[in-house]
Amino acid sequence: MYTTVEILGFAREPGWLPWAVTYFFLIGLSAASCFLSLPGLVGQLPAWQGVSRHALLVALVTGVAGPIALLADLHQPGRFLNFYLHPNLGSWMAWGAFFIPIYVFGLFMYAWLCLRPRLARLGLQGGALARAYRVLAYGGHDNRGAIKAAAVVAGTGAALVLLYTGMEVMVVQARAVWHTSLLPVLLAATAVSGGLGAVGLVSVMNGQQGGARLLKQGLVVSQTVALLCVLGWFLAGMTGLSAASADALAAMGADASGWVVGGWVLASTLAAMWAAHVKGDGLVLPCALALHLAWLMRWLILISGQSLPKMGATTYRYDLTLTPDGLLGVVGMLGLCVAIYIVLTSLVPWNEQADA
Amino acid sequence: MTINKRRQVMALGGMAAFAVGYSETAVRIAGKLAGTDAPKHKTAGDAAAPEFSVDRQGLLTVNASQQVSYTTCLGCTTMCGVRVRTDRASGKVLRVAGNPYSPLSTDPHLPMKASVRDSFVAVSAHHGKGLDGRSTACGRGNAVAQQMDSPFRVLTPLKRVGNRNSGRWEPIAFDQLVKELVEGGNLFGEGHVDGLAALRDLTTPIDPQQPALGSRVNQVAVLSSVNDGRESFARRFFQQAYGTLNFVGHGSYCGGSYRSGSGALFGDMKGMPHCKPDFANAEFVLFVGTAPGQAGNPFKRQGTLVAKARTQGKLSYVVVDPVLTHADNRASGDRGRWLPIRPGTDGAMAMAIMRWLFENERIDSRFLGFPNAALAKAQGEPSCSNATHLVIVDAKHPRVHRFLRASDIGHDVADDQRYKETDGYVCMDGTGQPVLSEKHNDAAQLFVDTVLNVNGQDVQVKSALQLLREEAMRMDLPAYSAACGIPVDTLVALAKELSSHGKRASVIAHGGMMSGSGFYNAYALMSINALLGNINWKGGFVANGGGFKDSGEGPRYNLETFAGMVKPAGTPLGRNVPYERTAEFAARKKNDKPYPAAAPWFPNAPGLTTEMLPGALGGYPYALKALVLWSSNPLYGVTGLRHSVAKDLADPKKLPLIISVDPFINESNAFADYIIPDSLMYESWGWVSAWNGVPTKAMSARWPVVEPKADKTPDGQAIGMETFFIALAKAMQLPGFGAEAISDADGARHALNRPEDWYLRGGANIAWLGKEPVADATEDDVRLSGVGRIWHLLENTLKPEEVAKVAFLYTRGGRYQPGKDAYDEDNPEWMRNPMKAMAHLWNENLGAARNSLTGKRFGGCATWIEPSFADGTPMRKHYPAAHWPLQLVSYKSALQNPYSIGATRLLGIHPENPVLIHPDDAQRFHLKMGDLAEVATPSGRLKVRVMVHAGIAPGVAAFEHGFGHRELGARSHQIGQTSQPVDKRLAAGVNLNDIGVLDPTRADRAPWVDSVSGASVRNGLPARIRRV
Repeated sequence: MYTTVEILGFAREPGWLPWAVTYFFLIGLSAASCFLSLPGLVGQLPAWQGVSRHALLVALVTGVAGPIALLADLHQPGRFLNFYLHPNLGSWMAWGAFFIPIYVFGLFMYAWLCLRPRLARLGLQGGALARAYRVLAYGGHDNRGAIKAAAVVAGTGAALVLLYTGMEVMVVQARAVWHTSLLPVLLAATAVSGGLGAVGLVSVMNGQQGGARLLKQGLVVSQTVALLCVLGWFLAGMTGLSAASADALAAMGADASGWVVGGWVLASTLAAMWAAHVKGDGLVLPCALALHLAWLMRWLILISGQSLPKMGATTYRYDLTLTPDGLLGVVGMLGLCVAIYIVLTSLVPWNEQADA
Repeated sequence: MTINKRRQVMALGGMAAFAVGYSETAVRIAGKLAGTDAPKHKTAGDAAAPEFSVDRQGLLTVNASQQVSYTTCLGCTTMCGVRVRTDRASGKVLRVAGNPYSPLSTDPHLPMKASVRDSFVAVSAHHGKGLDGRSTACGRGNAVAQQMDSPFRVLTPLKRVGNRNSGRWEPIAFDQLVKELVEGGNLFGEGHVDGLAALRDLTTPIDPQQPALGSRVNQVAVLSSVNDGRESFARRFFQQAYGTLNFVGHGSYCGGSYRSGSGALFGDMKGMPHCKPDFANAEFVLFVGTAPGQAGNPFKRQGTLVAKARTQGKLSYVVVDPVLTHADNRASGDRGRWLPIRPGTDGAMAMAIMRWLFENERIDSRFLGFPNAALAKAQGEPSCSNATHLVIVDAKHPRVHRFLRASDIGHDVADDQRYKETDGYVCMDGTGQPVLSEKHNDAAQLFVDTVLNVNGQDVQVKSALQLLREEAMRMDLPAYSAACGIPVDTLVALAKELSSHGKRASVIAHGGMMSGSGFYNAYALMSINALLGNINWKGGFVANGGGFKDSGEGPRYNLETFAGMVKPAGTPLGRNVPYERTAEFAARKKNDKPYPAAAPWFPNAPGLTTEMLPGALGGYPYALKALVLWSSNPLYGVTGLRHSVAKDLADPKKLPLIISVDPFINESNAFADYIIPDSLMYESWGWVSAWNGVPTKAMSARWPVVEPKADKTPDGQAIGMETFFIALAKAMQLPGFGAEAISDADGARHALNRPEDWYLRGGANIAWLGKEPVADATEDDVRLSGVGRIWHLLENTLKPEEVAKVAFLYTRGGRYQPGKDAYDEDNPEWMRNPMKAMAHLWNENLGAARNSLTGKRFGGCATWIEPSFADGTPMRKHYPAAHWPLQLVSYKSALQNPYSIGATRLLGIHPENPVLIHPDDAQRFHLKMGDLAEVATPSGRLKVRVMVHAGIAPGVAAFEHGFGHRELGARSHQIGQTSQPVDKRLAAGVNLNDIGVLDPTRADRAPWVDSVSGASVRNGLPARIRRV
């Protein structure tokens, strides 16, 4: 095994801050939820109605908040303009600057087209905002063709976002733990799992657990894929099939905490799958664990991954501080999600069964 | 719209959290919109404006507000050629990068014929040239330029107020300073002090009973540091004009043991020639106690070459060192490996390797068989060895350990030439007949152990190789392995690897040799190279190309000799001469008890700073009257010296006068009576060649690319070493300075009144050396390179035909032989500038010398001895591992040098030097990362911060050198009415040398030094550690 040791002994600050974890988390949930909204809202499958409506709500909340977190991770948010002023077609990250607007624009159009009839009805009910509802409804037609078209844009955008977020991390050869082709699959699988978890929790909050069985099935499938990815990565590293993974394992092997964390990931995921398997409607535990898994994987990969040496160096310690670039930022983004959720659910009642 | 109170509160709470969390980002957005964080430049940010730009056609446009000059860095002792960018208006150095003409900064370097304009284009992105021939300065080189503006610089002459080392000074006018120093008097109200004029007594012996000590002028000693290109000027003053013998540099506390070991191999223990691997073409290199790219001058060039060779070439290497360094890293992959070893046991490893080479017949017998250089060359070997030369081994014989000579076997040699150079060596031919080595034209016998009739008497003789083999076979591999801690299999693998690459494998060492067995360790390691027969071969072990001599009896000016020149004589204070030739020895011999001497003598060592102060302050062999510290800091650099002499140094009765010439107040000149400012870095003149590692000739120029900051002399020159010495010389009317001091090739005389009188004429010598003089600088060269700054000096000083040629050197920052000239014209596998000395597997001067404390003879070939004190007692006899379980070592910092602490940018990266210990030791001594601990040696203790670190051999604690300063800004001195600023950062960390071990076997309380080389012992100090 190749052990590396830092000679100078100074700390290298991570370039990717918790903002990045927050962004990856939120945009992953959003893209996954966007997919979950399709069977019910576009495909009109009756069993999916409740799930899909809540999924659209989750996709909107996280889809708005996600890019805001990403801006903060640029350190100087104005730098985002450079992605457009100097396009770099060889960079997955730069492509992301085009994929995100496609996705967010598609999502907004899709959501608006889906909500139009209901906005029109709200406009007819009177009240202080009736006029605003009527303007927003813009006639209130339920245009299936338009919805399908917008759904294609949003869905394509969501797929591209999942693809680019996985690829931009995977291509970094200097970070052995990132440089594996299983990484985009793992991130996508945990995003789907996290999306199902978020939709499930929103359903519970709205007292509508009709889609519990669907959600649970999805959780088991997505988490199985995620675990297989981790297992595949581990085996590729142990057997030396992937040099990068072997390097990453070697670097982590020096630290016993790696095994503790690995054990925790495995145990909590198995617990989530077990909870999802249990008969009955209990959604809170498996869904909360699914969100936990989505966050944990991103934190481990992005933040802990940066603590591993890039060259001739020991691990770089990261301390989560109560600052905007640390815990405050994470809590702040959670606050933003809560606020958006409340505003959206207050403006449009999402728990009405009939329409949509 | 339904929004109840609870939801309102939650939404507001969420927004509030978001506002807090996003505040930093929001401020940044606002700042961007308001333009408050706008950088000076759209893409370059707040960086200084570029010095020049090169367009797509390769056309150069220069920035008129900046000057780009090629000169020499002084951020360490490598002295790389650099390009210094200064702001013309403020004179401030903006940035330092590499000089593309200099092989120390660029590989491959530009030919001299390239114009300065071309050289600027060559470092630009035009056609990717700047990356192909990348020319760099290192991080330290850039950071230390800050020192020029340091608030701690001494800019005006200072005289102490109160006691020595009290930190209080008053400025003194230059004229008054010169007067006081020359005339002496009651200078400090402490009684009369002799001035330099009175101390320059060339006739009265120091001790009439011991005339060999020399005249009283030797009681003035000068300690310098490294030849920064100005040493020949200082030597001209203090040795040739003033007349003292005692002028010593820093070698004995730098890498002295390695140099001495190498000197033994090459048969010159005073000049100590040495080689380096030909990094570019080597296939395997064993680095011992030196890490390419981190330690071992020239570290930057080595780093580049090694990185290239291990990626593009065939090089793989092993670094043997108690401490893992940057030499082994992820980038080096399997090409570089670290092999930990116990401190001071490299000799055991080397002897084990040699034993295996002998046993498995993997030595280069063909090479070793040639008894002389001419035969070797004719047979295709670019060097030769004395492997076949016969050595007298009869213990009773008066010439035991010496070579058998021509006169011994009946050849006619004039009596006065007997046993001198012309009395040739003897070897055994194939038929078993003794023959003259020089005349023999066939391979001689390698292994000889026989009895010969010498002058009618039977004498046992052995060949040098036989003696080395016997020494190597003295212990078996498991025993060697037990000594050094390297498994037998690994020792065998190293020997196999070394002997598997023909001439393209070598062994190199350096600072890691500074242990209590350092000399023999180094000699053993270097001897492996001779057994491999790799010397002077491409890819093998090769000599430095050297420089172009400025201060010799040159083609234009004679800077070497002058009328009235003194030839210093006597006994050097460092006692690096045979004890057996002293009056003390003769007197004691009369009493039949010649040994021990009062303190050890080092006949096979160069001048020793390590021994000078303990000797002088103890009055052995004589006392000092005045000490001059020129850029020298022995109290910081010599292990254990502070502990040994600081108290005496503070006592003017023991040493009446201490004068320092230095740009800073350091740990040693804080004890001075006077400090005279000196030029610093890019303010100075000088000519300096590469120390080693450059196979082509290279001479770097130093010239004042910025105006020196120090105060001016009354005639308007900046005060510095040169102007100060010239003023002293004139005040004492010494020869060699002032009017008509320098003669030219036509016999005409020229003045030496100003620094440029010396350095520019040295430049003329350099310009005219070789087959033909260098070309003339063009007007464009001069304009672009800032040489216009000194143009008037060139014109006023030099002959008209010399001006443009010397300017040519300054525009290029020196004179450099083309890179293609590294290899021999006729044989491309040989080096063009070879190591001329023969490899000495047996060194008779070493073998014939005795330990002056015991009278025991030293071994004359490589051997393994345990780290020992001066009388040969192993260190562990006095300080057993049971009581002193750790061994301390120091290692070269990747960032700091011993005088760079004031470069605060380096401290920003790495603010202190935690002491490294192995995780097993951490557990054993109950220590954690970051703990404060006390490290104690038999001579002192230090409070250190601990870094637990797998990159160190168990049982070793490693100190990065360069921290633990008491001065250089760590203490605020009072100068007149003003106090220097306080900057606690500069006192960070610890200095291993503060707890160096005093030698318990010596009566004179002197620090532990290697008993042959006299070099400091800083590796393998016995110690213990405990948490505090």
